[in-house]
Amino acid sequence: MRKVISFIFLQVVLSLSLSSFLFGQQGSSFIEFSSGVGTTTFRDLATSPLFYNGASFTFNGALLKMGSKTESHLGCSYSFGMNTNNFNNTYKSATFYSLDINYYRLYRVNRLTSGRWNTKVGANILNTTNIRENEAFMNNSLGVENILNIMAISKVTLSVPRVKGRVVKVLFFRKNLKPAQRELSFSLALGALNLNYRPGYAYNYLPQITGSEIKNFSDYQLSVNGFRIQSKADYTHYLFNGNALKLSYLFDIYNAPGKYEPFHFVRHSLQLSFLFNYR
Amino acid sequence: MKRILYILVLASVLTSCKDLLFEKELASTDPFVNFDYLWKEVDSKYAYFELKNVDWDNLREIYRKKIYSRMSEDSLFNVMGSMLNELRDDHTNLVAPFNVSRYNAYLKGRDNFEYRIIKDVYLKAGEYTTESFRHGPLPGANIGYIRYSSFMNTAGEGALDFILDKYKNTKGLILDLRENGGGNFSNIPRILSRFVTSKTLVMYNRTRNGKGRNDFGPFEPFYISPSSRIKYIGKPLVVLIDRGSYSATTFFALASKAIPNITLIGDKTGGGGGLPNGGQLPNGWTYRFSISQSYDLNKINYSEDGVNPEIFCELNWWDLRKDDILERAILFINSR
Repeated sequence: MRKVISFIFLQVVLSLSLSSFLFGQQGSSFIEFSSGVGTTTFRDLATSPLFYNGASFTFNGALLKMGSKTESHLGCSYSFGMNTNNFNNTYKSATFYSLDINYYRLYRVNRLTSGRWNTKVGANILNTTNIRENEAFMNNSLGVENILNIMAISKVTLSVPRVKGRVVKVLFFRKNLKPAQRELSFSLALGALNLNYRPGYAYNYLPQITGSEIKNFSDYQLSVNGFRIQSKADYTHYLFNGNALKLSYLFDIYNAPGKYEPFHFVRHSLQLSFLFNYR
Repeated sequence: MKRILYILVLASVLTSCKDLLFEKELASTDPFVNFDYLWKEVDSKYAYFELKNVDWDNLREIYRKKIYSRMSEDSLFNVMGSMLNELRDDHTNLVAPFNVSRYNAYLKGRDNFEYRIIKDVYLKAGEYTTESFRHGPLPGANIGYIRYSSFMNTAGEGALDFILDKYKNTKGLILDLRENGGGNFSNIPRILSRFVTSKTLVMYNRTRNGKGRNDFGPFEPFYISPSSRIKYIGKPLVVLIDRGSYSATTFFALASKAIPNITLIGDKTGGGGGLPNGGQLPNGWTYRFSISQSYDLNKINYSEDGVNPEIFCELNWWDLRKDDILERAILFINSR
């Protein structure tokens, strides 16, 4: 557990130190808060060949700097949920907690940018720590892994402003829509370097008992393999005061093979964000 | 605008298909698939083939012949459960919604414990229940009796403080671990740390770390460090064991061999000297089996078959006015 806490502490320190890169860039600065619901599916082949599916809830916080030429994002995300498998009427459930910390920086590609279209590319560092518990697996009930991905990321944004106001009628409701700045964007991140910290051969999270000291995670192994893909589609609606509302669909998938059996994970998430413009 | 939306949705969908990116679904109720999966898992991770002289390849041949495609789940369970029972290990179980397979090591020896005798004859003056422990002074003997029925129950530091303080002026203690089926290993050092004055090496453990049946990691030493709280030192502690003493109790008994003032009396423990893992089959059933070995200070691996007491004794069921094993322990303490 000390190693997991150390990982998380290092992530926080790295994030705070990276946050200084956000300042000094041109563009609007936002503090983003969001929450989302979605579904997760995972399979840890070290303990079970079966996929566990369930609903998840996500809470995010981020510092965001957006401009025409560059974009930076430093964020932290906490997800939790309950996943189940009822194949052959053998119902089993697993709780799932995940902490993500990520930082990305994008630069405009002038050749692919014109008019209302803006294309940026850059790099994304993403660290994920998962904690899962499935009592049915007895001494292997606790699953912990840490996945660090350095990813290449590209983002395409299309500005779709509402130039003229219009009236919308839905049943008995009537709404005057004022002119507003809106954007549609799609980003795709592909893992270029994927580091996994996964259990050793026997998996058991108490692999060695040493009397008065019980060495948790002493059998864990670091390996460089696997892949991760994240795609995100956003609709951002800017308010008159510079703040914004954003509706996003996030897809996240990764395969962390470790040294022995792999861990597979997929998340679909619908998120609503509020962006506070502070500069 | 509509075209743009179509493109966005299409892009999102195309990049969100797990079936394209992961290995195929492995869930299956096929009896052959599940049998082979279980056999292979045990083959790659079980720790005691050599000690138990088990020919796992031969057992595969024998039991696979009993599998057929349309067999019922109950029949499949019986075949796989019987195969696991050939390992003669109560840390090895197959768990289905309708049944659990067990070797029942304790049935291989006599029943040597009846708590009613303790209550009726020895704790007539009154029994304390201090968290997970039941205890009382033995009449006329100046000896404290402590019953710890399961390592699943926390051996609380406060409870141990109370008990050891209460019996600090006795000439000996009896810790009754008969029919203690084991539980949480962290309770082992919690108790034993009250009976040592310096960091004491008590055993070694090693875990399977490769596909070869003799592939194990290094020997990991198991130490007991002295507690900073109330201890019971310089006087005998007798630990009562029997065939129902399993798993963590076997580890406790093995560790006790390395501590000078602790003596084991009763019958051999049931075994369970390996740490069990846990997993799931393609049909959703779960299983566990031993993946580690424990060794004494001479690096001899025997605890899986049970730890022998220093003094062998059995309960006489023809005379339930006394507990012979407890009487033998009292005699031992009085002779010190």
